Amino acid sequence: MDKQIILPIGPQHPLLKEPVHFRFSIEGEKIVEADIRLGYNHRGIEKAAESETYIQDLYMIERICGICSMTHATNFAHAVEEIAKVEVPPRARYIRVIVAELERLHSHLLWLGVAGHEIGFDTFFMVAWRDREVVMDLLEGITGNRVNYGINKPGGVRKDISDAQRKELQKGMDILEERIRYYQKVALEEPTFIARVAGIGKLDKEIAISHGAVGPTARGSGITYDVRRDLPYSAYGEIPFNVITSDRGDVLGRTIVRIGEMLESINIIRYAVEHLPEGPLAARIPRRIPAGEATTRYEAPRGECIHYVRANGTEVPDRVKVRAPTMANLVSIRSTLLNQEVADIPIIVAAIDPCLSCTDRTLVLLSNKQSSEITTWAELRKKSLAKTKRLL
Amino acid sequence: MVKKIDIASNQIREHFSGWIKTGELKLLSTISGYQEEGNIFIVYHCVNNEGAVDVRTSVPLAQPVLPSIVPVLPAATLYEREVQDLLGVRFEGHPDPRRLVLPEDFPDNVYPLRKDYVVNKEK
Repeated sequence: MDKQIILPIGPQHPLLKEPVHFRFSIEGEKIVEADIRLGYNHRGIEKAAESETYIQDLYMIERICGICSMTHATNFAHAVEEIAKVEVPPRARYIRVIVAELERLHSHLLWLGVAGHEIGFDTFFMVAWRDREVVMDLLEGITGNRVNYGINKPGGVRKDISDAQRKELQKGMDILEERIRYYQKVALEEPTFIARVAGIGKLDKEIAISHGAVGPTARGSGITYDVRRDLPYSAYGEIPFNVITSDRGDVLGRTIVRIGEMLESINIIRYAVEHLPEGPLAARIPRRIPAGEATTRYEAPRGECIHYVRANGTEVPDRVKVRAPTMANLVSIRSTLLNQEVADIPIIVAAIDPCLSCTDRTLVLLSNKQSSEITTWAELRKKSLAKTKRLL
Repeated sequence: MVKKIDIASNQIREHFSGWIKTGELKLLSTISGYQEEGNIFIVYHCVNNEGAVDVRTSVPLAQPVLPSIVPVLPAATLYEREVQDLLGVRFEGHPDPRRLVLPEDFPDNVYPLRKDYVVNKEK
């Protein structure tokens, strides 16, 4: 095959919270080059944050992402608290950990379902999302919201966890542990699932390091970096847990890491609920934040999220910088896609865990004839399903 | 607390290639920047073996040019392009200095995160 075809995907497809445009050069079914164009959903939040007060910014920043909303809100609150030199009360730190780990559970269950969906394992998708509702109900009970929880405020949290809610949490964790252990068995033993993800989307450890991969993507390639353990924040320094890694470096490795992390999250929540300290929910924080700067890191479900805040002594920040984990993982995704089959694009792109929710439209341009035809993300997925059938 | 290091702008690539050679650098988390009067400060947020480190350098607003660290550290690819779009710092030696976040029809030489860029707020 010497004819190269350009296969553009996006920008309007729900792979990411930011619509993204991929451009694949393909020879037959093999991907020989991949390029990414970002920015379609750049909302200027960093600039907007310079004109709103810290409290307003907290709520705006929480809405950067619908899944990692706890991530951004907590990370920004940490930065403001560090600059103002305010100590967050222990009870608030534990509540932040509980909500953060619930967020990780719901995000990873969502991912597991999507991964199953992309390879045609729709039963997996249905049951994973059904069980995710257990987490969503717990989140709604504790915070009042299923997403964009609004539980943080600079200095602590806004709502307490009652004793009845603590019992609900323990009950929910028992249900989830049983279900997730079952998924672990499926992922490690189901031959068709393994055939579709083992050896696919390889990311070597050296490339993961030099290209700055983070989160389950990096840990699936044998990197042990986890912000919760290496640069602890909230109450993670006081809670025992393991960092899950896999040396496989493929999509199966990333799946193993995410399932293992869910079991760890369950144990973290159990520990935090049992050891929830008594005391106030928030410390007082001044409206004018003294001049200073802070860099804060947070282990989001998708990896390290970093915020950099500069204060100038007024009610509004001088500069707010946010880098979400998907941005870090987009640098190395090119090397995971090269020499792979077109039918594997959905699962490889899904493996860094962007938010894949509904159908997408893609455009196929045949470069040799200058003609164009429309194909859909659904059709691309059909290719993926055909591959699964072939392997059965 | 994050450790802070200040470095001259022309030394930045040597600094990072040194860190990579000794295996000291674990992760370049991101590159951010801010304007303070006549200078643009660029901060490289890193994690090395001892913990979090912010490496800071500055360039004059009149001539915002820095050596790119992408040739020694590909992780910086997208971060440098983002800073170039939003703060107008040119990274010399970047293999692919296209726009990243701003649209193609955005005016040239306008950089949203500089202080002279004022957002029109609808009342």
